[in-house]
Amino acid sequence: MNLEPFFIAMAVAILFLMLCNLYRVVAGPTVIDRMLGMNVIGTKTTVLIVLIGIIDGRVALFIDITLAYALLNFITTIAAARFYQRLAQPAPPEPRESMVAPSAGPEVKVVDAPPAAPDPVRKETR
Amino acid sequence: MTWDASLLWQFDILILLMMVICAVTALALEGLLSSAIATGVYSFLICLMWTHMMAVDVAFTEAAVGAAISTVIFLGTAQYISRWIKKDRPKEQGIKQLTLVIAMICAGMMLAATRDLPDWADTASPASTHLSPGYIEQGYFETATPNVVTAVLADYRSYDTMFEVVVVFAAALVVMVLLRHTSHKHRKVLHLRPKREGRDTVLRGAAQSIIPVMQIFALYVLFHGHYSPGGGFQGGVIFGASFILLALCYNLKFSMNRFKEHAVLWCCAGGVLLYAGIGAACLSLGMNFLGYGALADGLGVSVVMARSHGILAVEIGVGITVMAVMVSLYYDLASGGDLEDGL
Repeated sequence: MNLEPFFIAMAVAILFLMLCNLYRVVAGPTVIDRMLGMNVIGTKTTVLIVLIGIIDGRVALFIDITLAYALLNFITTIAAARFYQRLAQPAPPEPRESMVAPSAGPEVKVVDAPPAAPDPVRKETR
Repeated sequence: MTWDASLLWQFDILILLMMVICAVTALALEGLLSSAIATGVYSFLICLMWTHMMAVDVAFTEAAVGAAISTVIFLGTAQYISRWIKKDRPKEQGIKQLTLVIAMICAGMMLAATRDLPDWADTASPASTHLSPGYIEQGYFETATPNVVTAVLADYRSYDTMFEVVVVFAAALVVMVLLRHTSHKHRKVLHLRPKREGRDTVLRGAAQSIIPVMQIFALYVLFHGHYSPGGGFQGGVIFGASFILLALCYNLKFSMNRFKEHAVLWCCAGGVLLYAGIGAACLSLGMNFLGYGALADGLGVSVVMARSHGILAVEIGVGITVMAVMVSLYYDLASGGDLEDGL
């Protein structure tokens, strides 16, 4: 039974689904839409590479690439999410020029004088 | 079953169309994060394209670099430079337009030059008639390496690969020279960095379970490069990506405790040194620089097997350097050079 037309049809279908996700990446109103679109396109790429391998009859060559994608695909998404996480948080107030002199050396922490030890005599009297 | 190039030309058209859309999107979008995401999608598509053209090793490199490293480095750079970007400065607008003109001129010249290139899979092109048949027919018998790409990369064209590794090493060096500084000099910049808040229980659990798998897979890619697509570059990138993932899921300090900056630098230089050292050893044993056949007596194997082992040793050198360079680029770019806190 020749399954090749089935696989080709599947590959074309996935390619068109990828086009839908690409629309979300291009148009997506927020950055989070774009991140999701990219992640889904990555997953579809993984499947498509296997399908091209099956159509070609040399899956063994392509499995390594798909494994690499499966392992690495989410790193970009995590990095984008981290970037967004920092972006979404309120920025700390800008330091005034007077706070840090440009010629100041390494930061020196001004530690308050340690609290005086309790007077042993007074302890006894209590 | 034979591969028929005309079978799926619609594939190519559709993928190329999507790539053009991605490229235009990356230029047109406002924020740097969105542009970085669009280039990430572009990298997926071009990997698909190369897979479709049966350039498996190139596709593997793109898969490793595009999925793991390049977008992360873009984002790290974007975070670093976004502290100084001020919108709508008239002077910068002029520079942007100048850049556009230069880019258009270069693109036009390249498009004009493509007419002289041979067609894809043209059997009558000079490369296919003079050089490739020798590699394909003799490669296995001379180097005992079934994957002809690895044999060409690390044996026949070993000089090129060595200087590629040197270029990668130089890239890390330049980024370090430009960005690395101790934290107290630029305290003002440090103050502007918002703190990262919240717990990452799921991320950390996922990282703990996937990083060992990733590292084993990277070693497999490196050592199996003789038989399947892969090799030093791809294995090194995947191994480096595991440390970048560690830094992303925990924080930069956590990753730097596992793989300290000194160790990274030693690995950067050590891989290049291993590569060049093998070449020098061959030279001292009476053959050409990087002529692995000279190692046959020392290893006690035939000349063919010595070339196979030489390829493996050189690939290990490439892998060490590439892994360390990727980690070093991330450390410097994502933290802005002070190594306090990453992306």
